This record gives sequence, C-alpha cells and structure tokens, in this order.
Amino acid sequence: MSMPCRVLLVEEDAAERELVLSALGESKLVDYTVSVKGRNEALDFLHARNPFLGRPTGYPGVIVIGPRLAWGIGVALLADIRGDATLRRIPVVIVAFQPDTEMIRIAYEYGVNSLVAISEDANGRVQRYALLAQYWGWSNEPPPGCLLQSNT
Amino acid sequence: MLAMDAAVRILYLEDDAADARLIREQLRRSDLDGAFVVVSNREAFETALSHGDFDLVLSDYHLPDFTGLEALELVRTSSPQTPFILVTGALPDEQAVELLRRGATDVVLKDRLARLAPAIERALSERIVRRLHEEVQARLGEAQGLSKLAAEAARMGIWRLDVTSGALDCSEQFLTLIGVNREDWQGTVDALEALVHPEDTENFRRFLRGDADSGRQFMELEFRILKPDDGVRWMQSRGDRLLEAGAAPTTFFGVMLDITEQKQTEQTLRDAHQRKDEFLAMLAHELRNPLAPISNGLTVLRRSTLQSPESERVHAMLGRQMNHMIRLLDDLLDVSRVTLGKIDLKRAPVALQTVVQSALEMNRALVERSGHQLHVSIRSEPIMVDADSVRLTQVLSNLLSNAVKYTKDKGQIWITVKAENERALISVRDTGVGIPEGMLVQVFDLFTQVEGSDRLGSAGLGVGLAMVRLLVELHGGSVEARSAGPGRGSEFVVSLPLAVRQSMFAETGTVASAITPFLPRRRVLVVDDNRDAADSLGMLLEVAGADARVVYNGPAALEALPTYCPQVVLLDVGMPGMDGYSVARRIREDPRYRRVALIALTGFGQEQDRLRSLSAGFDHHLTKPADLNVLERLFAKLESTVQD
Repeated sequence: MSMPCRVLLVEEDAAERELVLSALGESKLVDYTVSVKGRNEALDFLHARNPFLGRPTGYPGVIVIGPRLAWGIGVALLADIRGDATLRRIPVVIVAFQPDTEMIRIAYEYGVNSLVAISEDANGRVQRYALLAQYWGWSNEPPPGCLLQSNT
Repeated sequence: MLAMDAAVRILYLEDDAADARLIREQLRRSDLDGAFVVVSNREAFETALSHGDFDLVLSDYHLPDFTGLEALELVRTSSPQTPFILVTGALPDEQAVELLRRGATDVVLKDRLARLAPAIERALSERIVRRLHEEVQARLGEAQGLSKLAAEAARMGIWRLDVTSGALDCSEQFLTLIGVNREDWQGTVDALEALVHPEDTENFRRFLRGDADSGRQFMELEFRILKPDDGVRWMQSRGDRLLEAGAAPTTFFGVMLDITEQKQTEQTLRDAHQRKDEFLAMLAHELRNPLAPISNGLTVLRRSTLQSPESERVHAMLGRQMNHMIRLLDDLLDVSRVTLGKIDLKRAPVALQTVVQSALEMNRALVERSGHQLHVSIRSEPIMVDADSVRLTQVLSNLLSNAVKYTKDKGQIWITVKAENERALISVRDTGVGIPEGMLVQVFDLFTQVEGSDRLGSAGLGVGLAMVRLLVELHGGSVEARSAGPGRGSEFVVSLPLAVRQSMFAETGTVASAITPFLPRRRVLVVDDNRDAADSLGMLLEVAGADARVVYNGPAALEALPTYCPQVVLLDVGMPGMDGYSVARRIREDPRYRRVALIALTGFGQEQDRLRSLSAGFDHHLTKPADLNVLERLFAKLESTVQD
C-alpha cells in the first residue's frame, strides 16, 4: 500500500487555504499538507531555509499553486522550480480561475504537470480539490526524493 | 468575477499613439472605461506615478528612453501593491517569465489583445483579495495590540510553553514580573524554574504537567519566585493547553500576575483576626478574675445570713446573672480557643443518649421556667459516636437553650436523635421565632444575631451557634439550620459520623448527680495574691464546712505549712514573685507534705496549662472562679482516696 505524499500548498488567501484543507480532510491528506502564503515562503520551504530551517529532509510529492495567488506569481514560482536542478522534478499543479489560452500555454511551456480550471462556486471548488488530492495524494507515484509520510 | 463599480484608474505607458487608442477602445468595449492616463516617456511616467493614485499600470516593453522592465522596477518600488501588466509586441517566453519573476502581474501580447480585459479584471480582483487580506491583518494586529495593551495595563505577563522543547516565550511584562532583562532571558522553562522558591518547585512542576491525571484543562497556580533585585514575590499563573487533535498537548499558554500585595493584605487580615481572637481570649480571661470573688461572696451571703424573702429574691437574681455572665465569658473563651486552634477534644466512644440526658439536665430549670413542652425521641439501644462528651453536651445544650430562648412561652420543642447512613442525626426543632431564609447560613457566624428577631429572655453575644458549628466541625460533623421563615419555627440538625463499632461499647459515663451537702471538715490552705478572691474563697469554704486559712503569696504559704498542716492547698498559679508552680514544686520536694492534695487555680483552662500544673506536682487543676459544686465533688473524691 502506498503512503500519501506531502503536499505543499501555495495560496495567499487564508479563506481559500481553509477551503483546500477542508477538501483535503476528506482524503485524510490534511495532516500531510504544508501551506504557505507566497512564492518566497514556498522557496524557503523547498530549500529548508529561514523559518523552515531544520525541517525533515526531502521534497513534497506535489506542489499546488492556489487560485488566489496572483497568476504572475504562480508562473514565476513555476519557473523558479523548473529552473532549479534540485526542484525541477517535483510535480506542480496550478489551480486557476478561468485561465485563458495564453495562460495555459505559458504554464505548460514552463512545465506545469496539471492546470486545473475552477469556478467561483465554492462547492465546485471543494469537489475539484478533493479530486486533486485523491489523484496526486494517493494515486500518483512521486519522483524519487519526494517526502513520504512514513519519513523514509 | 468581482464587481468593478468604482471607476478604475489606469496609467498606461505607451509611445505609440495608435496602440494607445486601440487599447483604450478595447477596454471600453469590456466596460473597463475608467480614468485612463496615457504617458509616453520616462519623465511623464514618473510624474504621473508620483501624483496619481492608480489602480493598475499598463506598460509597453520597448520605449525610446525607457524599458518595461525599468518601469516595473519603478512601480514595484513606489507602490508595490499596484498590479503591473505588460502589453507588448512579440516577446520571448523567457523574457515574459523573467518579467513575471520580477513582479509583473501578467504579460499580454499585442496580437492577442482579447486577453487584456480578463487579465486586468483578474489582476484587480487579486488586488482586492490582497487588500481584504491586509485589512484583516491590520485589524488582527490592532486586536493583538489591544490585548497586549490590556495585558500591560493589568500588569499581566503572557507566556507560551512548548512542552516538547521546554521553550518558554513570554511578553515583556512577564520578564518585568520575574525581574529578568530580555538579553539575560534564556527562554526556557528551566530558566524560570531556577527562580521559583524551592518550596514551590514541586507544585510548579505539577502545574506544567497540566494535571494530566485529573483531566482538568484549566490550571491555576500560586507560587513564589525569588526576584534577583526584589526578594520574594508571589505570582499567580493561570494557563490552558492548546488542544491538538488526537495527540497529547504540546503547547501551554497562560498569563501571570504579581499577587504579592494581595498576599500581604491577606496575611495582615489573618494577623488582625488572630490578634482579635487573642484579645477576646485575654478579655474574657481578665473579666473572669474579678468574677471569682464576687461569685464566692454571693454564695457566702446566701449560705451564712438569715434571709428575708426579699433578699432571697435579690440573691437568687444576682446568682442567676452571675452564672449567666460566667457562661457568656466561657463561651467567648471557648470560641477564641477554637478559632486559635487551642481546643483539644478528648474523644471517646459515647452514647448520644447520655449526651441528650446531660444537656436536658443542664437546661431543666430553663425549660421548666419557660413552660414549653419538650418532646424527646430517641431509641433505647445506644447510638454511639466517637466524641468529647463534654463538648457534645455543650453543643446540644446550646441548641436547646436557643430553642427555649427563641420560642414564646408554652411552645413546643422536639429533640430527635437517630442513626441513618453511617451518620448520627440530632435534631432540635421548635415552634419559635424562626429564621429568615437569607440568614440560615449566617446564623452560624460569630457575633451574628438575627435582626429584628423578637428576643425572648436573655440574649447572648452571638457566639452560641458559632461555637456549635466549630465544635461539630471539630468532630468531623456538620450542622444545618432550617426554617420555613420568620415566626414559623426553626430546626437545627447536627450530623456526626457514627462510631465504627456501635454495639461494642458499654455505656459507662453517667451524669454526676451525687452532691455532698457539706464539705468534710478539712484543713484547706488558700493561696492567692488577689486578696478579695482569696478571702471570699476562704469564707466560702468555711461556710461549706471546711477549715480554711488564707495567705496572699508563695512564701507565706510555705511558711504556713509546718504550723497549719493543711490537707488541701488551693494555689493560684499566676502570683507575682514566687508563682504557684514554684510553690507546688517546693511543697512536693518536702517528704512531709507528700500526701497534701495540691489544687491549681487558674484563669487558663487550656490543656497545656493543665499538663504544666500536673507536671509541677499538682493533683488537680481548676479554672477560676472555683465552683463550689466542683470543689465539693473533688473533696469527696479526696475523702474516698484517703479512705482507700
């Protein structure tokens, strides 16, 4: 039986973070999720520096960029990750409100693993997040070096 | 999407007028037609930026004296929250993403202008979310500031403990309370524990364990700390644990207050209370001393002179009032002793039947005079309690005399004794004046009188019921007052634990009833520096049939011994110069006087006085004023031992 991966959630808006975490609760992933507010905090976590100095080693099994993080910041973070030799393998999922073709194009250009379009409807969002968690948390096999819950 | 009712102010940096017109038209079609300022060079851009408060900045990438990247840097510096969207001709993805990484909100290509309006809407809505977020943060900060202010105003320290690491975060006020500078503070619970008074360390540790065993969540502790600069200070800390799902709590947080002054006030009050009790004890004691000769004198007068009916009545009245006064002083003394913790119960198995009988006898005259009907209900097999029978009799006697006093003539009084659920229950009920509901608890307080109660007969000092409660509680019992209200009678119920083995105790103690009418003809030497007391006691003994001689100090007593050869010496212990103890020791040292009965007379009836006089060689110890009945009994006892 596979163990769930850790999820790094990058979302600026506290209410949206709550919503994501409540959706993750369904799939029991909530205990294995770290949430941060923005690009700098995300990079701090990934590089285990500043407030995250001394965190358990390894990387999250998936990075979810939330819809309330400014689109440009999300893409910048994606570019940061893909440009870093130690981070570039980590799956990245961008959740966005009604992304247009250019947004979708550039996200894939920079190696997003999944781009999830959502609406403002909260129930619909919860369902999408739950689905995401189910797939990326339980079904997807993460690359080597990504932190497993068993801490091995 | 979020509503954009307010006119949007957009600053647009563009050197191509045609492009500017095109884009403005594009936005108007998308209902984004707000204030639209177009600038075409660096200088104008800088001026506009410094004067205008824009919601959004649009910028071309290539300008003659300027680049979009430089414009972005400017905006990020001057107003970092303002969204910045680049609107540009062909631009490689690398450059576009580089702009995003430097803080651009979006990059829109001029050949795909359809994206522009949604990009602007997105940027503005993201900005609104961010603004809300900032507002919430500001409010939160304000609230935190307020609670910090409140804590400081209350001089309350705040702490937070990580149980796993022992790290202790705390507020400035907390450090002030414990007298440690921030730079010297090590930030651990061990550092705090080092300051805790050694006697409180154990409690302190238990406090931090959170009373896990008791399951109590909210914790409170009073402890002392040794402040480096300010000596011992009392602290009160209250805390709670941060509950985390499923796991043992790892975080405690709480507040701490300096309660030293409060503690000092409490101590001052306690001291004052103690001094008051001591004063009362001393007062009662001092008042009893002059009563001795008066009481003796009265008895002498009653016994020695031929009485006219009138003087007989006056004597009887004087005697009653004298006894009443002595009883009041005894009550006062008793209460003081109990509150000072100076009363010792001589507990033994005793049948409540005996106690009831003694109390009835003590109050028989009172009951008969009052004309009340008294009903006593008690079963015949003994109900045993482990008690001091004298004290328990006092309890019941107080309740009974209260019932008599506070019931109008020809009322009813019931005494009921029963055993129930390992408890002995003694109830004294009357048809008297009753007690208002609000006073049912208070009646047991010292010096409390029910206000407006129609006192019948002589009232007390308000110590009787206080004494009852103190004595009952000393016996491990409780007492309760019940009443249906004023005028509807009251009931006092004493509950005592039953003695463990009920049937094993044979009934022994009976109320002394043998009263020798006259003292045997014995030589009695009375020694007291209070001449009135000594003389009157001498006279009293003479009247009662003894042969008495009176001296007023120790040396005179020793001098009188060889010639008078007394069989009994009544010695005041509190004489100046050679006190009673020394006199007693001197008498005992002489083998000739080994068989002389030495009786100590003292105002102090406490156990340690009794022990002290016995160790000094006294045979008996009497409290002033010596009661003739007691003396008679004592003499009778001496007689019987001599005969043995």
